[in-house]
Amino acid sequence: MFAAFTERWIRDAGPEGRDRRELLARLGLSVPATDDGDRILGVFDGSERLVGTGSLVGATIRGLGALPECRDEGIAARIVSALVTEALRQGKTELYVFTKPETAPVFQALSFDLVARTDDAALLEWSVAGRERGGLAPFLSALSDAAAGRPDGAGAAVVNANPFTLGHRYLLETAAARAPHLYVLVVEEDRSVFPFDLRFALVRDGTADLGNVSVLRGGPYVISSRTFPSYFTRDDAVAQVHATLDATLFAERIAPALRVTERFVGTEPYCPVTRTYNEALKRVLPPRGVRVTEIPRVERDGEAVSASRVRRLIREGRLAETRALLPATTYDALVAIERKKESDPESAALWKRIALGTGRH
Amino acid sequence: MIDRTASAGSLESSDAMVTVGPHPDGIEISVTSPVERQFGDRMRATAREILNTKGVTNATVRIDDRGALDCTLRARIETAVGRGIAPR
Repeated sequence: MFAAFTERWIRDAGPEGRDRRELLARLGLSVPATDDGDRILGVFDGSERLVGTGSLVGATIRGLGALPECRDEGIAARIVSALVTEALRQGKTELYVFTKPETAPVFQALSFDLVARTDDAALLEWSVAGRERGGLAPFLSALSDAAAGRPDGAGAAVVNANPFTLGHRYLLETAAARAPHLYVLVVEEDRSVFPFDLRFALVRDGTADLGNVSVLRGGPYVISSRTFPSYFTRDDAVAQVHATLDATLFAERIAPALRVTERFVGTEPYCPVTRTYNEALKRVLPPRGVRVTEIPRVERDGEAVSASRVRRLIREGRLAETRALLPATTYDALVAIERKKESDPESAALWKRIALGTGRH
Repeated sequence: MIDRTASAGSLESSDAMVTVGPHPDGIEISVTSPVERQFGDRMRATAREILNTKGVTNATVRIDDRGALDCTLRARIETAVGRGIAPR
């Protein structure tokens, strides 16, 4: 029987928002937090009962749910259509969905493409440019191009390098000595104290003497807000789900594109999220043909050399003391920025960001 | 010229969602459809024909077809293209 559904945007505050939370809870789904600018859609039946909902959070479709008795009537298609149309109206051209694996086919039927799937989560995407020219496909072909003519069985490491320390240098030097070629993917998400362009340049300059190292941009598929949102949001509860997804995407899509069979990681003494990530890599990669090699951290004065220690020293105005923890390339770059901060507004802004910076990575 | 992202239609059954966007040089058309193999080329040809008629030479077009009739698809493409062209 055809039911006369109506749809409209609803607010999180207020009775309809409460109905939505109840509906999602009843379906065993988590309720996504929404901000100003995010939109929540409600679908109502003839007696004004909320029967389905979905929301647009940034460029992500989340919190899609509908009563089981209404699912055959194309409610999901209706909700997703409205959310995609709204996202496009806001000027977004790439959309993605983080959902339970069993819901992935619903989105695939609505022409979303699967990026990665684990036992707990699935990531899908949709791009105005289409599945060949938008999203993951061009990222992977750029990686294949970067690996053209290079040896098979290469190694890979992912660094945020916030900033690039002797710890990173030791990890990459050791890895480069063991692997025929080493790809270093620099996390591109610009949520760290040191901006991406600077982090990338410091890694490139700090490894320039190593002949078999290529430094590449991590793009939106290597520890990004798309693949691993909790890395940036301090949401430790879901970190394992995201870490597993990121590791799966690396093992199944990125490693084959680079012809990588070994991933190098540093032991993680401090950060619980990074430790969770390392555990996920050790669990997910080997069965998919990628070894995981953990390299012990370098210590100085009985303490592991870490970027957070460097940032702390800078915050405390002890830049000179970072010299023992940094390669000359990084130390010289920092000193140059600090010196130029009086004369050059760009350096002043950058130094302010560095000297005040807080954050976990 | 397509100036901005615009769309028409929906992902509901028997409809199609057509999205257009700017393109630096040329026309790129992608199609997803349960009948892509049989009708994909025809859908692309329809889109090209409509873009030609409107004098559009640069555009990204994405057609997500959910089993739309040809007349429905045409209407969706025309509307999306119209919305993507800024008023002069």
